[in-house]
Amino acid sequence: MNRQTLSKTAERAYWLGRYLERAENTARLLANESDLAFELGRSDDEGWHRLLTITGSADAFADSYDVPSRRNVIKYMTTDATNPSSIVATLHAARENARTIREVMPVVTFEYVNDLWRESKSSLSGNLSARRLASALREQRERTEQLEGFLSANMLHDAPWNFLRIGCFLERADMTSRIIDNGVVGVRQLDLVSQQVRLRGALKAMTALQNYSAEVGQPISRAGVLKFLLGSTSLPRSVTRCVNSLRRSLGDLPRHDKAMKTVNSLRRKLAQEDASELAGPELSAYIDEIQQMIGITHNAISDTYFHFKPRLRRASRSPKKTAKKEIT
Amino acid sequence: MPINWKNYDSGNAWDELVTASGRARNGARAVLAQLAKESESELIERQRSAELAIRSMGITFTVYDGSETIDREWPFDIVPRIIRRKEWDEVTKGLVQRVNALNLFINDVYNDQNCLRDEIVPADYVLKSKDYRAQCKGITPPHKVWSHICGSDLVRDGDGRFFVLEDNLRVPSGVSYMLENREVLKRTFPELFRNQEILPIDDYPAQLAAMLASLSERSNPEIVVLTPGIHNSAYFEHSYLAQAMGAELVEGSDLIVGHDDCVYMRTIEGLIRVDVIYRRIDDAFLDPDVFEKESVLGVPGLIKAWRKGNVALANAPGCGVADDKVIYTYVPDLIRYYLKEEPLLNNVPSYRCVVKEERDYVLENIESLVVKPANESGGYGMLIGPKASKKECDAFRRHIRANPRNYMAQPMLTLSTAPTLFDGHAEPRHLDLRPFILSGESRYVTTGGLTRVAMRKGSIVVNSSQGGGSKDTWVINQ
Repeated sequence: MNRQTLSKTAERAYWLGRYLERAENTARLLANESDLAFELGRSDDEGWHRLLTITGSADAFADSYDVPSRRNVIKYMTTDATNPSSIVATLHAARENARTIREVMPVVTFEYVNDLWRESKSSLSGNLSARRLASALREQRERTEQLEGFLSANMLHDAPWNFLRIGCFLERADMTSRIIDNGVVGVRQLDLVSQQVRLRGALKAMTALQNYSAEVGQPISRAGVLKFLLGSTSLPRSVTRCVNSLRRSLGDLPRHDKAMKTVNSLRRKLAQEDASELAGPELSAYIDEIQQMIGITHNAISDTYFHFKPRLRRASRSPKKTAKKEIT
Repeated sequence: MPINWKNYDSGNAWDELVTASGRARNGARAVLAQLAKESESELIERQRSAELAIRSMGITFTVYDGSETIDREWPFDIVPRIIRRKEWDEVTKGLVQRVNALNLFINDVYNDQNCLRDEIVPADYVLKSKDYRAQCKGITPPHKVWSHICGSDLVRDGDGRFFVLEDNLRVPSGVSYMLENREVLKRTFPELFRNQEILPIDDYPAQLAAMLASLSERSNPEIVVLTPGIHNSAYFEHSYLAQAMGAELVEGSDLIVGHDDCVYMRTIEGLIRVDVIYRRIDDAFLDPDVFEKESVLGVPGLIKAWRKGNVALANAPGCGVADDKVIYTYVPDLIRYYLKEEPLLNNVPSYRCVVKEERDYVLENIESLVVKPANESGGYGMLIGPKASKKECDAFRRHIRANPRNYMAQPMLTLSTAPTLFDGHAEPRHLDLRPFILSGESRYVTTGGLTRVAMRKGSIVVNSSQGGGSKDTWVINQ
């Protein structure tokens, strides 16, 4: 008997991948901004406010807080239960998904995700000093990476695994595009020193500073960073690399034609249009387009695998002759 | 101080490992010696590492605590319970005989009703039972089997004789814990296994899968386990068995009945036809078209698909009609009636409150009896006379007078005991045994079963939902 993968299981694995990645990315963004604020010697709230903008949560934030101060933004993005994208809320959502697909995961997975959620909740609560915030975020990131490594080494590399990966890569590609938005768009208006700090920050948020030196070389330039973060085929978090990895996982799944089409057009756009010299507004529009295509890919996957409308056979056909597979 | 078995005293209970004079029973010598070799703190350390293993293996059961469901770690004692193979082989024959008669009875009830016409069982008891399902009339499932997975509870009396306490024919649980208990003990106390010929138990998932497959005529049939979901107390087991069989674990919302009255599941491949459903949902919730209209756990159209023979349900709906503590009292008669054999395993002597003389006896002697409702499981709703207050006894007298059909009573048995560790000390605790019997094209009985222990001193309540523990159960080749 060969186990089939239920739509429900696939969907939960997919969201588990997305939520784990999202929590990690939010931690990266926050750690990076906290760092930048020091390096730029900034005391205003501009950087923190920009974090809200790039994660698309400025409006929701304004509903519950007056000013985007460091303290408010950190609280909103780490432990605020009313914010569905806060780190703690995201890890809780990951936990619920892990809890309901225990039969396709190594047994200790749920316990691991559960601990990750519980410990992040306690280590991120309260008014955190920069040092404690940095260490809590680092801890969370490392534990998520350990979990990814553990799953990679121990989980059956079958359909649920591929859905987990697809969720992870889609989320990662999306976040990388946001980090580019934050780190690169508008950088030309800054003085040279600030430009360097900002570009370095974008690379650091993706653990890519050392990789940049290795693959592109010094000095760090706007065009170089853009090319690297969008188009590198070897940087694990570049948009192109995420799309390529996603493509491989999707290729292992049945009935992938429709979703593959959208992935391929995303891939073509990345390969064929050189965005490295685009000016601010055009670059913004380009990144918007990438994000839209990521959204369309999500929809195609959801329509194909999770929420397809069943087309049932009419009663006139004999059930005995029904083929075992197929019918959608 | 290490354990001195001479000082171990199980009173008038029959102990599974230690004789009245403090000697090892046949087959238990090596285990008792090994236990006596370890210091108190070593035994405490063993017990703790067993608990750790249970935690890391994720062996839990779920309890509902008024407002939320909590996963608790499975309670386990590291002293095994030991049964000799020769004795077990006899028990096995008795169990198969019993379940065969019960399946023939259920099939008869929904078809010819010979046993009612011949007045073996009063017709009213059957046809007015809340578990009688008129929708099942006229159906004969494959191999004439209705209860494919049966869990019968066995106890020993003060003389060490086995009795059947009850038969769980609907959705019995516990088998996953039986399997996990062996794994945990192997990990934490491998020394116990030295120089022993313990029969393996781990072929159960394969036997279960083969039995379920035998219910379908299609080659390589698609088998699923249907669970009410994560909040059910036995969800761990549903997930465990699905995983061990390589079957899908589905909820009602994953299944859909087509216009062709076949059952399909939603998968990433599209819809795939399902041939056999091992359902762990009460039959009242299986199909909102037929039973509970409000059920969101079930699958509309499922019963129609089953009636047409397009899908097999294990256990079949309606089999609860035989899982009734009043019907239980007739099982020896059913064995004689259907099989023309004498029962190999005894029932616990029972009084039917519905029969006047027996009812009078129960009302008169309720303080010394255990009174059970006909239709509850998990040890709920029963009265343990010797431990109950006068007020509780009077309340049960009223219940019995108001609804005699709903009650039966049994004398309070002195259940057998086995040494159980508390802070490194061995104390006797009462226990029972739940073997599982599979019936499809052929029959299979688990090697031993799940031993449940009442952890409180003197208690006979072994249910895990009420503080019961468990032990690994060995059938040894001796």
